[in-house]
Amino acid sequence: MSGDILSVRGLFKSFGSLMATFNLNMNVRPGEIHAIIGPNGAGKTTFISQLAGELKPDSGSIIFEGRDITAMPIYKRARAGLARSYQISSVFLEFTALMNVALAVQAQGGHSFRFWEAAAASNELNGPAKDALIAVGLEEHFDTPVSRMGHGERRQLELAMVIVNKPKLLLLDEPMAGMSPKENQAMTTLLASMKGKTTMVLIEHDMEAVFALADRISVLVYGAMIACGTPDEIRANKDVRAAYLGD
Amino acid sequence: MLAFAILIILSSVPVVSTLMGQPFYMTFFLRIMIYALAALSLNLILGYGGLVGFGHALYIGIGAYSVGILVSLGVTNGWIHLSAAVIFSLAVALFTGAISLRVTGIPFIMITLAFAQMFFFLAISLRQFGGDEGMTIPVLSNFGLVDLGRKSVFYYAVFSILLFYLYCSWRLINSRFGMVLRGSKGNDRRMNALGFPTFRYRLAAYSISAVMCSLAGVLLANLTGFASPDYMAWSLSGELIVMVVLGGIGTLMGPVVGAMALMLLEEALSLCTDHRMIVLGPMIVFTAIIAKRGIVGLFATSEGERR
Repeated sequence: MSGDILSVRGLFKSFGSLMATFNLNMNVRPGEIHAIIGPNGAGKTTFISQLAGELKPDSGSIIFEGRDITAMPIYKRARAGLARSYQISSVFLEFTALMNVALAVQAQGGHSFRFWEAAAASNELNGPAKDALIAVGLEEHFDTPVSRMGHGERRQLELAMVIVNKPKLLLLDEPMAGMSPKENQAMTTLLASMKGKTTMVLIEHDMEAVFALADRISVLVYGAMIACGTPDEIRANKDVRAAYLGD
Repeated sequence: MLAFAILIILSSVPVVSTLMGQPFYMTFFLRIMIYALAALSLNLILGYGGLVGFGHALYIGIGAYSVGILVSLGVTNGWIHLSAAVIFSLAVALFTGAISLRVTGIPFIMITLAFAQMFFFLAISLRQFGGDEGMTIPVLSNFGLVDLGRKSVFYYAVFSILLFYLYCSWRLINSRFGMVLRGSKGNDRRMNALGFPTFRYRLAAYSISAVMCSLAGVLLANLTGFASPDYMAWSLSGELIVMVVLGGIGTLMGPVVGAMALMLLEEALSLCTDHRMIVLGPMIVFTAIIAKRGIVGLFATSEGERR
């Protein structure tokens, strides 16, 4: 479909004899939250990594905004507006929260062969970074070194680093992983507030959050897509109930 | 505080050694400062970039041979020596870096070591330039008004370069470029996912470091009046790493403190024993284990000072 922001066609990826991605076809429409669910080991993170460019698929193609990006290196995809977050917070421990997000801003703002002026003094970097930290609820932690932040706060920071550049497509790998119920609620509210403005592919184990947020849900089992539809359709799907929801 | 104390000590050495009638100390501290320059260069990639270059003596060697070979060809102009060292070390760094920076960790260590060894044996094969015995340099680099023949002038020239290196390093590590370098040390994968093509930044850092180090070679050749393959030996590369780790890896003053501590200890121990490594070895191990940021880390009182 031509109106899709992302379309994936016939994607295959195997690690030895393990089929991590098996003939995957998917499309993401502008503005939607597209959730991907599936049991552990279904190949969800492997799939996201191929979308982001960290893993090369064995075959198949990935079309982003009408452009084939299958062979594009990861940093170019990021600059084209594809941002990914990580299941295990992948932040810079030595830096403060603000420095982390400012670095994300810097990544998209021209080359970094600038050897003299202090990066920390740049309002061009700090302005958007502070806005993003406020948006995720870390307004009191600008100058906290990440090594002293709690797990939940690092998850928030992880999100701030990917939303700060207003990506066209956000790939979120279990943003709620390991969060307390309260933090989980706050994150769900935050993602809901971005709904319609930012297109998202969301991997999440928390079914309550998934069914509350997603416009459409794809179900992955053993690397293959077994169903795709609205939350109501997925809930009613016999195969999904048998393979995954387990009741 | 430690930084100030050290710079004050270094700045007063010529006066004190003259008053004491012991010019040996001036030469000795000159040597310390020249090694500190090399260690500072290495710290840029090792401490801030997480790249364990185990062949940095190669660039000291390039600097020293730039002086030695040009002098033996009758060229005594110091600026030409310096230009040759910069151009040649830059070319070698771009070439070897483009290959070695494809990998990190142990493979990077081995490739940098291998390249340094290749140049070590190349220097040995240069029979017309002294072969494995090295070459004496009868004439000093001529830098016009800055007469290296006068020890105190030489000393304060090197001291100024040391201050200049410290200031430039400080600017560099806090600049946008520095942030990319430090980020790729912490998490290179994430840096790429953010949109940084980190390879080209690492290559630039490696080249800057090499050029800075070659200047130490030019100065060392002028101090010793000698250029030999030993200046590129892997053992010297190892000593540079020890200086950085001992003083405080990834700290601004660490390499200076480390160079000073290591060479003073070596000197003191050589007075009382032939087996100085029996004492020195455990001390290095101790510092590496106990103090994550070396001697500088032990003295630092606040988070900020440790950087």
